[in-house]
Amino acid sequence: MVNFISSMTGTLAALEEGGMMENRIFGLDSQLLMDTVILALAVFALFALLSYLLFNPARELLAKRQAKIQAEMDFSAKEKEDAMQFKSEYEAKLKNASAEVEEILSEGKKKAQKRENEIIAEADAEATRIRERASREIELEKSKLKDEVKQEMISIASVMASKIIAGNIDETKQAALVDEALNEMGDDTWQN
Amino acid sequence: MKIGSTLLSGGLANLGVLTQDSEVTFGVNGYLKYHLFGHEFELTTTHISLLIIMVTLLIFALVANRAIKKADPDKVPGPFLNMIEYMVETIDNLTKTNMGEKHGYKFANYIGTLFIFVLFSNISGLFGLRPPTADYGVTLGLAMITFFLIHYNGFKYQKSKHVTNLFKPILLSPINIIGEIATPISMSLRLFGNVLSGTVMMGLIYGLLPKIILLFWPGVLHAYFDVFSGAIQTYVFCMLTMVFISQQFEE
Repeated sequence: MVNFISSMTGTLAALEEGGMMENRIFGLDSQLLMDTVILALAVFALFALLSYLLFNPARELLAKRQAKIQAEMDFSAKEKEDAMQFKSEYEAKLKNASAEVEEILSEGKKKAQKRENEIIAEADAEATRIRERASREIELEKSKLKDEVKQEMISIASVMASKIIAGNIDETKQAALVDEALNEMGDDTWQN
Repeated sequence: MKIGSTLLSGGLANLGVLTQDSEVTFGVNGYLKYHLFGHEFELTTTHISLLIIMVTLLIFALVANRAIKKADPDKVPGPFLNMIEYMVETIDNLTKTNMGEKHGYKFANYIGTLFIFVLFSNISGLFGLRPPTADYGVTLGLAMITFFLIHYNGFKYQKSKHVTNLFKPILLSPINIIGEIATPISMSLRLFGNVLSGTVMMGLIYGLLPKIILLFWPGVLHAYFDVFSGAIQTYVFCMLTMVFISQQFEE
């Protein structure tokens, strides 16, 4: 039994008996100290290797990606700002443009109104002129007609007169009249 | 020391009876003897498990390193890279929340190493290894590193106050001193006890139950003892390490 307990306790028994330790569970001896030292070295080695191979590169990669995402976000924020600025600019421009359109339209209307008035005035003037001319022509025709009527009356009168005279006048009298008329005419013509 | 060991092992005598009758194995065996500083040491199961775990982690780290080196930060990362990044970020956040923004990042690598190492050690029982953390030499080593870090940072940030604070209420100074010394012991024994209990129970079950039951029943127990308990103890150990170290940053 003592042997068994010794074998359970490990190294001490093993040292006494000269055999290997078997089924050791717990022992406060030099083997424990050695195990502790070995473990400390192992953990230190593992710490160094994992830091070098795993943690630091992974963290670096994360930092790189973070920087990239940050840069992209900054860039997009700037782009957005620019776009907003452009948008407001264009909105202002559009507003201006509509005002301009309004102005152009009103100006056009004004011009059209003016033109319309002009045209109407011109047309009025033309109409007046035409009317005047027409009335003048009418006047002319009238006077012409009057002249013609006068001529007609004169010729008819002279015909009637000649008819009357032909019945009452004799040859001598007629010659005397002609002579008289010729004399009067001849004197006037020469004197003039 | 021998008496102490004997007393500690005495409670296991009943188990010993079982181990003699059947093929129950859950202890550490020695494989190779060597002499150093006039003492005789042995290369044990723990060291072999330790080596296997370290090589596994190293291969993982190398593959991860390859993936990271090949990765283009302008492109969408693949699932493996995502996993690595998630892991590293989780560890970074854990240390930052527990140790503060100012000092946390300095310890992220150590806490990460500790977490991955202890987690792999605890669940190595799933792969047929004897968990290295079921050996007190390993957990004591981890706790001693924590102990060293606590007091190194204590002296670094609090200077001489780190010592004088122990005697602040002079009546409580023995308790304070015992408290400081108890920290690594309690941390190491907590991890050791939890993992060892799982290992012992699994050893007993594999050694004692009929083979037909072993086809399905240990799966449930592995899930509990190796995965669940292992992960919890890993978390607890890392958490305590972070909390104890970050206590030293306070003025």
